[in-house]
Amino acid sequence: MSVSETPQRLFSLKWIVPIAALLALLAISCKSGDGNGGDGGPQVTVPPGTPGSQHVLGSPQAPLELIEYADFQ
Amino acid sequence: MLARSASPQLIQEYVNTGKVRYVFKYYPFLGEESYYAAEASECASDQGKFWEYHDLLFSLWQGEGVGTFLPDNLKAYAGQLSLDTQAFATCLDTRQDQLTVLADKRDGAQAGVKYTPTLFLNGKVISPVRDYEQLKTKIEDALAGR
Repeated sequence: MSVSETPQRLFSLKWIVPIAALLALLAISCKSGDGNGGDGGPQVTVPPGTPGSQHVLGSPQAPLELIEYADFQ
Repeated sequence: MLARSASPQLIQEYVNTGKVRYVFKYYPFLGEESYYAAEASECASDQGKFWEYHDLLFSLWQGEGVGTFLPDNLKAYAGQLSLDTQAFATCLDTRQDQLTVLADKRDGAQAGVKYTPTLFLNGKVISPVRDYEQLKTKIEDALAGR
C-alpha cells in the first residue's frame, strides 16, 4: 500500500509548491496595488518627487526639530 | 496624543521660545474619514487657515469612523472658520490635495512610522509619549545633549 501511495504523494507535492508560490505572489501584488495598506485609503500612486505638506511652527534656527505624524481620527 | 492635548503647552514653552521647531505631517490610516480629514486640512491650508482647522478637528474628535470627518461635516467646519466654503467644497470634492497627503504618508512610512502619533526628535523616534511631562523630559534631555 505504501508503495502505491508514494508516487501519488510526490505528484501532489509537485503541485503544492508552485500553487503556494502563485498564491503568495497574488497576495503581494494585491497589497502593493492598494498602495495604502488596505486601510480605506485611495487607490492612488504618488508620483516620485511629489512634495508633502509644509506645516511648521517655530524658528528654522531652533536646535531641535520635532516632527509629528498624526491621524485626525 | 500630542496634537490633541499637549501641543499648546509645547508651543508656548518650546516653540515660541525658539528651542523647538514643530512640524506636523499627515499619517491617515484609520479609514476613509482619516483621509478626508487630512485632505480637508490641506484645503483649509490653501486658504491660510491650516492651524485653525487642525485645532478644530482635534477638538471635535469623538472616535474612529463615527462620521465626524465625513465630507459634509468637514465642509460645515470650514464654514465655522469663515473659510470660502464654495472653494473649500470644490477642493475637497475634487480631492485637490490628495497627493500632498499621500506624499506625507509615503514619507512617514519610509521613515518607519507604524502608528500615530509617531514623534521624531531630530530624526530619532521618541514615541510613544505618555503625556506632556514625558515629552518635556525628552526635549530637555536633547537640549542638554543627553
